Formats: sequence, C-alpha cells, structure tokens
Amino acid sequence: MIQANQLSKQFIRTEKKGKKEEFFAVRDISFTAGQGEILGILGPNGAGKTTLLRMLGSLLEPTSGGVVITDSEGKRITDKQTLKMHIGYLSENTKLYGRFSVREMLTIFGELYGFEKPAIEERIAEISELLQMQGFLDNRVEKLSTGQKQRTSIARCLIHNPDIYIFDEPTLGLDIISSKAIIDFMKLEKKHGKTVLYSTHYMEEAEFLCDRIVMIDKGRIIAEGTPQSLREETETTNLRDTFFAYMEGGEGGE
Amino acid sequence: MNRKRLRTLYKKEILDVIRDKKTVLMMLVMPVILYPLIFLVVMQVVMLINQTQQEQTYYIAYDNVSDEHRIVLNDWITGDEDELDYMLKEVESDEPEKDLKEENIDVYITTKVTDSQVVYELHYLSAISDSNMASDLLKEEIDAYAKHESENNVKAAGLDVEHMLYPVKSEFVDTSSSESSIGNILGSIIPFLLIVSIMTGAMYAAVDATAGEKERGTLETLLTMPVVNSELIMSKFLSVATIAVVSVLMNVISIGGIAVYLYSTMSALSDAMGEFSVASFIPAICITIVCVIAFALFISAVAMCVCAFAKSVKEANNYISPLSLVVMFTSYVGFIPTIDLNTKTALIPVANICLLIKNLLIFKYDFTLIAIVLLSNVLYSFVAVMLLSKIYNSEAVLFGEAAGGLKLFELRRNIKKGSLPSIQESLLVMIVALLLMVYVGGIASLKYPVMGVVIPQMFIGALPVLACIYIKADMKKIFSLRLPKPGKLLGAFFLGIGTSSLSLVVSNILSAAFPSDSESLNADYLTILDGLSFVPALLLIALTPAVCEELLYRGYMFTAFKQKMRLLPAICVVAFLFAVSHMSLIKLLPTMILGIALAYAIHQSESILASGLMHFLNNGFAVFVLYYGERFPILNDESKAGGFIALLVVLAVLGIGSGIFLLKGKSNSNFEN
Repeated sequence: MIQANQLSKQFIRTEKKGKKEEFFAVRDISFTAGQGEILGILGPNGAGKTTLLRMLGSLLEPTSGGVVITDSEGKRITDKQTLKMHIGYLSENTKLYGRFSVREMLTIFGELYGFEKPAIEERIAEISELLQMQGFLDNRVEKLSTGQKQRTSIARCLIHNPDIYIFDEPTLGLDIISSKAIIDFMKLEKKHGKTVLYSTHYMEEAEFLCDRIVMIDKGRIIAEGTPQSLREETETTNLRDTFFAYMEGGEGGE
Repeated sequence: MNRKRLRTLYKKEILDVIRDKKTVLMMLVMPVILYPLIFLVVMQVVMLINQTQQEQTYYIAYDNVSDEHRIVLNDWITGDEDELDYMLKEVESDEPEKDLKEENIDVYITTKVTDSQVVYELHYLSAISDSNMASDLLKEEIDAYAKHESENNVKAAGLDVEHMLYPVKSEFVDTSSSESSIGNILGSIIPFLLIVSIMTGAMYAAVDATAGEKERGTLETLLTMPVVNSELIMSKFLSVATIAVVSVLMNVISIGGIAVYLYSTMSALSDAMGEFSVASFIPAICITIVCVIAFALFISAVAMCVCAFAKSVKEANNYISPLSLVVMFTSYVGFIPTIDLNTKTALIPVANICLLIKNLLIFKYDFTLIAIVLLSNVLYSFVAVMLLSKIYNSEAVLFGEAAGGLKLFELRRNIKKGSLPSIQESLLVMIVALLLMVYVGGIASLKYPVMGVVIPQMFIGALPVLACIYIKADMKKIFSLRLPKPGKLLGAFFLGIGTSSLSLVVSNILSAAFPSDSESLNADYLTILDGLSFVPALLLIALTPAVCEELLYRGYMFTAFKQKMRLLPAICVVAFLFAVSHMSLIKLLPTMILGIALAYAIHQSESILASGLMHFLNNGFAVFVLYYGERFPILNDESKAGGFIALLVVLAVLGIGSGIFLLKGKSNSNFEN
C-alpha cells in the first residue's frame, strides 16, 4: 500500500521577460492506493502529474508532506532508499542505456538493487520468459525496436520484484501492440496483488483499467473515486465527458 | 556510501564512456596515431625544407660595385664551392631592386668604399625565406673573407695574428649532462602536451557522463534506483578521472615512443648526443605520473562542475570550451623561461604542474615544492568534488526544471528586492576580485609599490558592494552593518588579541621551518612601505584590509555560505578561501586561524565592526613591529625568543578564552535566517 500525505512541491519558473516566480506544481495532495489496485492519475498537461509521481517514486524531494509505503508485513517505510526498493518506476523520461546489451543493463540494475549475480541471472531468465525477450537479451539496446525497448523498460522495473509500480504515461506514443503488452502487464501484476499508480491521457484506457481515479488540475485534486462514481457524480456516460465536466467546473489552486 | 553499489556504478560509467566512439577516439587515436603521425610529418617537412634551402642555388646581383670588389668576392665564394651544398650564383641585373622584389634574385650587393675599408651591403627581403637564407649564407662568406683578409694584413706587417687580432677569446663549455640538456628542451613542450591531453580526455568523458547522460534520459532511470547522490557523483568523478589518466598514460607512451625514435635517429646521425641514460629520467617520470594523476583528478572534477549545469551535450561543450582555453593558456607557462616553480607558483593550478614537470626533467628535485604541488592539487580536487556534489545534488540541475542561475547574470529589473547572494555568486566575485588584484595590482605595483596594495583592496571591497547593489540585496543584513553591543565588541577585542598571538606563534614555528619564505615576505613588506611613516603605513596595511577584506569575506561570502551550509563548515570554508587568497604558503595556516576567529566574531556580534576591529589589531601589530620592533629587546633578542613565545601562548589562551566567553551567548537580535 502506498500513501501520499499532503504532498506539495514548489518550483521557480521563468515568466515572460525573464522574471522568476515561485509556484506550486503540486499542492496538498493526499490519497492511498491499496494492494491489488490500479489507481489512475488523470489531468491535463501541466497539472502536476509527473511531479506528483516523481515524488511518489522518491526521485524528487517534496517541499512538504511525505510518502509512506506499508509492506506485506505491515511495516511502514518512509526512508527514501528503502522506498525505492519497493517501487518500480517507469516514465517516458526513464530511458535505457543504448550502449549496453539488455542483459548487461539488467545485471547492472540488479546489482544496484543489492542482488547477487546468480539471483540476478535467475531473475533475468524469469522476466525474459514472461516478456518474451530471449531473442534480444544480448543485443545492444540502441539496436532494438520500439516494442523491444518498451519490454526492456518493463523488465527494468521488474528486476527487483517491487510491490508498487508507478507508470507515468507508459503507453504514450506506442503502437497498439506495444500498448497492449503494457496494459496486460498491469492487469497481471494487479492479479498478483501489486499496487499500480498510473497516469495517462487516454481516457478509454483508464476507464476500463483503473479501479479508482484521482483527477488533478493545477496541482490539486479536483475529483477522486471509482470511474463509475465519478460518472454518476457528473451525470456523464463516459470518462472522457466526466473529465471535461470536472475541467470546466473544477477549481484550480495556484 | 555503499562500496558495492559504488563499484557497480563505476563499472557502468566506464563501460558507458568507453563505448562512446568519440571518447575512445580522443583517448586512443589522438595520442597513439595522430600525435606521432603529425610529429613525423612535421619533422619530415622541416627536414625537407632545410635540405632544399641548404642545397639550393641562390642568385646574387651586384649594383654599382667596382669590378675589383666584385671579382675578389666572387673568387672567394667560388673558391670553396665544391665543399658546399649550396651555390651562390652571380646574375646580371639592370634593376636589382625591382628584381629582388619580384624574386628574380635573392640578394643584391652594393658597396661603401673608404680608404681603409670596403662595406658590402646585402639587400634582401626578410619576409622571403630564400632571400633570408641567401643573405645569411652570403654574410657568413663575407665574414670569413674579412677574417682571412685581416689575418693576411697582420701577417704582412710581420705581426703575430693571435696576439694582434684575438688577444682575448671566449668559449662555451656546457657542463650540464646530455640528459638535462634534453630535459630542458622537453621541459617546455611535454607539460603542455600532457595538460592538453588530460584536458581533452577529461573533457569528453565529463561531458558524456554528465550532460550526455541527462540528454540520453538515463539519469532519471538511475535515480529510480536506491542510489545515493554521493555514490552517483563519486562513480562519475572516478570514471572521468580514470579516462583522463588513461588518456595521459597513452600520451606519455606515445611521447616516449617519439622521444626514443628521435634519440635513436639523432645518435645514429651524429655523436653530438653524447652519453645519454634513459634510466636517469625514471624518478622524474614516476613523480610526474603521480602529480599528473592528482591533476587529472582536479581537472575532472572542475570539468564535471562546469558540465553539470548543462542540459545537453551541445550546451556542455559550449560551457567547457572557455575552461579548456584557460587551461591551455595557463599551460603555456612552461614556455616562459623566467617563471620558476616556487612556493607561490606551486599553488597556482595548472601552472604548478607545468613548472614541476619542467623542473623534474632537468633533475631539479625540490621535495618541499613537489609536496606542495601534489597536496595543493589533491586539495583543489577535494574542493572541486565538494562543489560538484553541491551542484549535482540540486533537483534543478538533475531535472533541468529550474536552472540555478546566477542573479548577477539576470536582468536587474527581474531581481527581487532583498535577494541574498548564492555561494556560486560569492565565489565568482572572489575570483574576479583576485584576478583583478593579481593583474591590475601587479601592473600598478611595478611603478608604485603602495598602489599594489591599495588597488587590489579597492577591488576586494568594491566588488561585493557592487554585486549587492545589483542584486538589490539588503546591505545592512549582508554586511552586518550595525553597532555591536559593548560587551561583544570587548569580546572581539580580546579574541583579536588571542587569535593574533596564536597566529604569531604558528608563524614563528613556520618561519623557523621555512626561513627563506619568511624573509622574502618581510622583504615584500619593506618594499611596499619604503619611505612611508607609521601612520600612513597603518592606514595602508591595517585599516584598508580591515574594511575591504571584511566586506568581501566576512560580509558577502560568509553570508552566502551561511545560507546553504552549517555554521562550522561555512566558517572553515570562508576562512580557507580567505587564507588561500593571500597567496602565501607560509601565511596559509596563520591566516586561516585568523579567518576562523573573524567569522566567529561577526556571527556572534552580528556586526562587521567586531571583525574589522580584530583584523585591524592583527595587521596593526605587524606594522607596529616593523616600525618600532627594534625598541623592544624581547622581539629581537634570539635568546629571549622562548620567553616571547611563552608570552604569546599565554596571551592566546587568555585572549581566546575571554573573547569566546564574552562573544558567546544569545545573539542580540533575530538576525539569522
């Protein structure tokens, strides 16, 4: 289970004419995502989704608030390094090392998570079977096709067998087959009792995949609930209309 | 820092960098193939040109020269023609000046004839190499002819030639070994080549490891893993340094290869090389390698600091170009014969390595200087790595979302009122002040020694004030412009006496260890103060620094460092920078002690008057001793030195103890951030 407690992040941005201004990219966001749950984070561009997910993944230090993970034994984890051991983070900004072979890269990542070589080799064999990567394990990443790269990225998130996945627009720009591979993976991990936090612009995808949805705009939560409850609240028939209804009526923060 | 993770990260960095074709090209191809190739081509071309010039026929014309003088000279020249490689051939010319300009002839000769002398004037074009060469050869011939004639004349008069013409002679006897002669030649070029190769190796690796990783988007991937920032920085730093060191070793091997080739060719051609032992260079090479590694660490950290700000490789290359120019420019110091390695130059980065290698190659092993160069490079590397960890820790730099930016480079209208200076800004202001101090102060002091003190101090005082005006800072806050409580001022007074006494004790110990440095320092003071009476000297040496240096170090810089660092590290770093800026090894420790006390005093009293008073007392005492020291036997009588030191120790203990007692305690307002 992962919990966001009043997370806020302040940045300085350069306005027109070079003037600098402080602003909140994320402000007072709290929610919980439980075991076996897929939580969708929706919002327009610049709403603060990436900043929020980066804070949840311990890549960014919150200006205030914090992240807590409760592991399967009920232990509360707040330490940044230990949090990372429990999270698999994937975004369009987390690129792969083109000059390494897939196997070399996964081995290095496994070592960075503190695993020994034999355990890593075993894990790579498991993952490559799951994601059908045997054919290109020893190819250099820069020579892979987009779909193969995407599977390698997922493998990278899986190497340490995390409890929680954070996916920031994972299907952006992918063809239908590669997108399906990721969606199937999320569904599978949900079945395994893992928690998935997932941001996307594709409403249809979110509607059938997510158990719950958090909508954010201008750094604040404007709606939270199951897709059905949100539709009912706005008296709309699909999530796309629901989203527009909230955007038109939503009250932004900063 | 987890060692296993650090090892994995280092392995990853090295693998990533060496699979980059550009880095490998710079690291291997340049030294192994390109340098020897360039060298061989240049050598062949130079030899060819020399040979052609030597074997060539040069055309000479005479203009209004009598037959007698023309024939005599021509006979002399053609007399030994068979022994020469070149030919000086006479040609007819009606307009010799025009022919020379059109390069139809190489030289034309006119004569000035008096009763006792014939002067052959050789008209040539210095811009044309053939004409230059011809005139030189012709002059040699005429000088030889003149010598021959004068000897004949003396002989004809029945006199002794040696006695009449050469009663006094001089001859060169080179007592240096063949090794040191060769070392002297190599001493200018080798440091330059080594430094350029380290810079090139470090540059590409630094760009790739910092901006390259950011541009490729893999940095964010790495940050998703439980990697501590210090491990990330250290692994990148070590990998860049490794590449720089490997690249320099490749260069050493390559240069060594060329040197061996050159030596074997030369010794086969002539016996002039004399006895030569390659083994005698081994200690020099070993020390050079150690120092060069220390330098590689330093340059790697500096290059990474610069590149860390860049979001793309292109941007990083733009940032690093000025740095490589500065490094290359400084490494030219090896070519300047008048600059030697001493305790001052041993502290200047880049230049110290150049001068040290130059010294080592002529077998000048001064182990104090070697230690200073080595330690200073290690220290600079440490400071640069600390700075790097500061820069690389920032989210703005890692994610490039909000660049750190220096307010000094922003438009003033966009700067908020009451801004505070950043550490980077304060370092920049200090560096600019020091550069102006060295260059402008240096030039001024050549003519007026007093201006050599006043002008640098003006820069030191004015630059932080101007920087604060520009960033619309609250001057009262930055420079602690307020009256201290009497108790705190008294505390500063006692602390000043205590610290000055302690500094003096340390100075005395260091003077005993390094007497020559201490004497040269006193000589510097005496030159500056020559002709000044006590009061102006006090104003110059005590009051001016007490105002100007306090504004920069305890006002501007200390405020900047205090914002981002804990109190003790901030005090120590500023004190260290204050000490280093005095550019004297012997003054380093005493000045640092003083710097620590001054920063403590301003922090506790919240008034620049307190640290100013202490600074004035410290420098004022030195001036007092210079002018009136002779009147006090305890200061001069060596037999009483022990008693004097004991007195200073007592003063130090009492002064520092009572000073801290009076200064400590709650500050008199909520001045802190």
